[in-house]
Amino acid sequence: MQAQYISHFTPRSMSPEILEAIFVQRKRYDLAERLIELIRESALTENKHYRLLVGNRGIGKTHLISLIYHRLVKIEELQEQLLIAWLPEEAYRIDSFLEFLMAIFEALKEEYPEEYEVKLQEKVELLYQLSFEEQEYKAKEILREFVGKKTLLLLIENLNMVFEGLEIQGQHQLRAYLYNHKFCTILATSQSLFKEVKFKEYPFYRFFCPHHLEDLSSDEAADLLANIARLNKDIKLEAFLQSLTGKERVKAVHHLAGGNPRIYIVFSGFLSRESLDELVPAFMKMLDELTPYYQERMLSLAVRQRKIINFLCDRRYACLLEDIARYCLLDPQSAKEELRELQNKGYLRVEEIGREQFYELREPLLRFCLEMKKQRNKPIQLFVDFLRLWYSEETLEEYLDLLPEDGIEREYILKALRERDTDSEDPKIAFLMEEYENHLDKDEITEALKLTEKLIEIRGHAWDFFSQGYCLDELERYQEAIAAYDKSFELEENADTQFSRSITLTKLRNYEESQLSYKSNSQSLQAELSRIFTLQKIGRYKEALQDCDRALKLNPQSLKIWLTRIFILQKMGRYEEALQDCDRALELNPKSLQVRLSRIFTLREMGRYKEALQDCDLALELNPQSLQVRLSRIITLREMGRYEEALQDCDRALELNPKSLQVRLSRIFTLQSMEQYEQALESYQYILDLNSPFPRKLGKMMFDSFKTVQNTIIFKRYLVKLLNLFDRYQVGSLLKRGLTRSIPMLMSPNLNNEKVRIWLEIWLELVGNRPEFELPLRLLSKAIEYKEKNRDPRVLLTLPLEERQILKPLLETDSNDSHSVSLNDI
Amino acid sequence: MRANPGGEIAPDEIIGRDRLIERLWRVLERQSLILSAERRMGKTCVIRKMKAELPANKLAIVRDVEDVRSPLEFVEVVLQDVEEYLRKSNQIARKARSVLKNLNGMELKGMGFGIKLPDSAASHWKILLTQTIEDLLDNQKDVRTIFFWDEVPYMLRNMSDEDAMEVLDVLRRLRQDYGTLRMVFTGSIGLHHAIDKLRKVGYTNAPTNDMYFMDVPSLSEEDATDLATRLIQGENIPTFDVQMQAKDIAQMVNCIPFYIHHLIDIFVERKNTINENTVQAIIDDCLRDPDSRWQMRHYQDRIESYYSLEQQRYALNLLDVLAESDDPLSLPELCDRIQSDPDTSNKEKTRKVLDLLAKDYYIIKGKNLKYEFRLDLIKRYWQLSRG
Repeated sequence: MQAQYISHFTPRSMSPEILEAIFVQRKRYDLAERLIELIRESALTENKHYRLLVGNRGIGKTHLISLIYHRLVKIEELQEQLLIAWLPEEAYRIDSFLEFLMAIFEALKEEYPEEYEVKLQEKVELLYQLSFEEQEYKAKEILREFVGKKTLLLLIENLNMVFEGLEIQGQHQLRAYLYNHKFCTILATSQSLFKEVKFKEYPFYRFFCPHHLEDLSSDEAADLLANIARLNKDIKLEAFLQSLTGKERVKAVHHLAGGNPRIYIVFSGFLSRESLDELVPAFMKMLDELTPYYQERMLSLAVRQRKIINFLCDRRYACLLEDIARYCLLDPQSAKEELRELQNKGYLRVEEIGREQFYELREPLLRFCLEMKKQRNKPIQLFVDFLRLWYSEETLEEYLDLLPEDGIEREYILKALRERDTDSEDPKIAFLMEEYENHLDKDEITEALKLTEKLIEIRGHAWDFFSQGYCLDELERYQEAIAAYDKSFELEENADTQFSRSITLTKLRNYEESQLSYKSNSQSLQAELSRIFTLQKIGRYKEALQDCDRALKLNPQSLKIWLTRIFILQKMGRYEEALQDCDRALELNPKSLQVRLSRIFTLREMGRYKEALQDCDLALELNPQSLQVRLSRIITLREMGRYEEALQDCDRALELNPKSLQVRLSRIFTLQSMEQYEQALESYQYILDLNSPFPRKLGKMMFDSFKTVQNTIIFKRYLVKLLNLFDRYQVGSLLKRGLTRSIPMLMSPNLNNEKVRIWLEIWLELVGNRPEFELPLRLLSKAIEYKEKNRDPRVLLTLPLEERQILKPLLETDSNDSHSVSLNDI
Repeated sequence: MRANPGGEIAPDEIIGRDRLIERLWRVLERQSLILSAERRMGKTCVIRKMKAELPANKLAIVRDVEDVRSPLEFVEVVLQDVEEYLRKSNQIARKARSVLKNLNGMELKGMGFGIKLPDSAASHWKILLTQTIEDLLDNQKDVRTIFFWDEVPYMLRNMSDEDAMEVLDVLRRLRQDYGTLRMVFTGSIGLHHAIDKLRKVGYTNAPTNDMYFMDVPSLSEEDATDLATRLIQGENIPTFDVQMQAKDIAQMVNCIPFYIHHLIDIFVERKNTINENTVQAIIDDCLRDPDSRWQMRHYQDRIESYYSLEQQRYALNLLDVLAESDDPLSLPELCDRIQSDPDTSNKEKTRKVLDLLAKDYYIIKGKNLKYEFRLDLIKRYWQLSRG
């Protein structure tokens, strides 16, 4: 392993090769190319572009500018047309227009030392002999003469600072100089849009076209870390970062660090495969490394601003202007001005509720670093550990456990898991797969096909044959595509493969007809379904439903689309329509188990248990061995309060599959509902002995039982025994996540606040003194307070940002969401 | 043709200003003029195109004077421009040079890039300016000579009040004395602000009453559509019907070229296909997002920063009422609607704030004496942000 020099704070000093190697984010690639094209146009035509990259510190502005610079100097066509003056990042000396011109000369000296010596050195030296006014006048002339008919590209970092130094007079001088001579194009950076470019009183009002650099997503952050690992030849780490687990570790960091690339560059310095997996020590080292940086940033602020930041750090949560002013001993008007300034500098974010404005620190890391100085490490470690668990891949698997066996959503999760399992340890495979996706993106099907052949040669997974089939289908080589799909299905039975095969077969049979319909559609049904799924996943149900309708017009017989539509309607709580759709789908295929299960679920949600039970019996007649139907029947019986029968059904189901974890859990759940706690404890122990991951669901399961419990004292005693059991198996801490996961259920309007409050009090009594439960209990407590106060958003603002980000999505979850869907299927 | 919001646009890519320019030339045949417009409406583009596509028998000298701080500096830039022009026919500003030589014994070097006059010439700036103009006109028989001076109000603001008054008077006299000479004053802040300020310290002249006043309007819908079409095609943005979408874009941004350029640039950045939904979505995004590139938040910030607390209440209430109304409203109607707030019930104060809002380009007063938002775009912003 060979570590490359990657600067944390001055990307300008890095080699072009390294800058390119670690560059991530598709959008930035495009922006870099776009800006180069605009500079090229500025050099070759009368058009002159003035562009401003806007983003917080460490977001990658200098990286992007450096990359553009290095690419520009290699463009042959521009050699004779373009001069570049890259002003120093910290333009401390610029306090007048003359100093600005002198900084340009300095930059030109750096860039063109020989030409400078011949054409400029003497003239610039002579400037020092003149009076101030003559200097300025002469400097303008010298620069204009030197540039001649070329175009001068000014790369200016921290333009806001430069403008501050220039003051209004200098800005007018610069504006007039640019206007009168038209030989400059500018690419500048700034942390925010500052007053000199956004208020019309200033000469550069709306002069620059701004490009806001976005934060990296957690996947992009993982890509950045993987790029650095590749550069350092750390193959193990690179592969781990491409695996689902690796990405989830990065997700945990992303939760706190956001998408600032600098943080990840610092973080990369402490990473190996093992340390990333372990996470907490590496994270703490990163904080340690970042502390001087944040301290320096603090020192660069005015005293009043520092005072406000300190106050917000100590408070940890969002505060009103009046509180900030009062405790920082400032008058409200000055406090308002300082807050606005801090907001402009990117330190603060504001949450508006009605007419109230709540201010808080934008970066939790800044607070963490300052807290480190106050020896408050322990809570930070616990929080990071919680996040590690929260984002662990187990969530995905846990989620999978809870989904109906034939559900649409399950297929996608399975796909995600498959992607994770696909040789993530082998970088070569990862590379080939990435390349495959790249070619597909560019519609280079033949190239993509070649890669699938390579993958088949190396390992021959089902996925490789599936992809081969897909490419062959795209190339209209249907016979071969079907053979590839068959091979894939042989290796792994998969609904996707079956579905794609049937599409290809249809195409083969009705070539002319299908060609027309699919070409007009431009995308395959599978892609359309993927899109619909994504839309519903991000909560855009209405659009997802519209897309379903469009897809159904083209494929009215597709059960898969009908099922997707039903799923979305369920999510929207539109059960009547979902039921109608189930009936329509059953007309297409009366034996479809998936549709029947969806119908049972819908009926249950509508409270029509009797009919749901009839449907279960009907389904069992057709599929007597189906565990899923049996489970559906158990849930229905339980909902009807017919626990004895539910328990009998559990035993029948265990005869079908004695190892089924879902049935075992369902049995425990039923026993808890019957308040037969001793038997429930035995069943728990049985599963713990199998080393099964079930306790993750505990919070939800226990709460659901608690909802109907009459005697809370007995239930509490049961919980004490359960906790002891888990502690004995060293899995007690997993409860903390379970507790947090129970929050969506507490939010149900059908639950009275008193019951929910008792739930919290029980847990406070049981685990209130255990540090690892501090956070889950705090989240639980805030969630309950939020419910009690009719969802007043101010309650949430009393949590720090990073904790609120965990809680918010849980509160948005209503009774129609997947959590209750999942729970009902236990 | 590429989107270039805020940047320098090559004259041949300045679209849709031909009719305005024809009109400006016609006016300039008669008299000098003041060209006014809100910032970023395209004044500079108009001037630049006029210079680039100069009709026969016309000479245009264009100069941004916002950095000029004294009458002498003004003479310097005029002399520099005149010399630069004369050099093309191997001429020099003979009379001006002669004045300089007689005054200071100063010799101007022949072919330099600029001219720096000694401080000792400051008290003789009027004669120097007059002689410089004469030098140019002497060489331009039967040619209409036009000085386009951009950002004149800033130049006047940079000078002492006395100097500013004198400059204005001298320029008026020159226009009277030389029949072929024309001047075009432009500025992003109104010239009337500068003159009003001088009046407060005793200035009584009417230094621009010989000049015609013109506003730079938005593009016509046809021209705005043409601009949008060219940009969509130049940037290769996918769309189903270029003409239709271009027309939509033009309408949605009130046919203002600056916004059209911006919108297309955003499409390039986001790699969106252009259709009615994406255009509306991007516009709404730009209006809603306080950090967006249009910085519409500026319209609220400006009131907070530049209006007194009392004026702020009036301004916000008035704009809220106008944003809610489908039709323009008269002063009594506005007074009636805002008086429910006891803090905004004074008719005179309402009138004053309306004047301020009009000067700041928020609203316009129509011929029927009714007020409305100057641009639908600002109205939509106001609805989204305060609705």
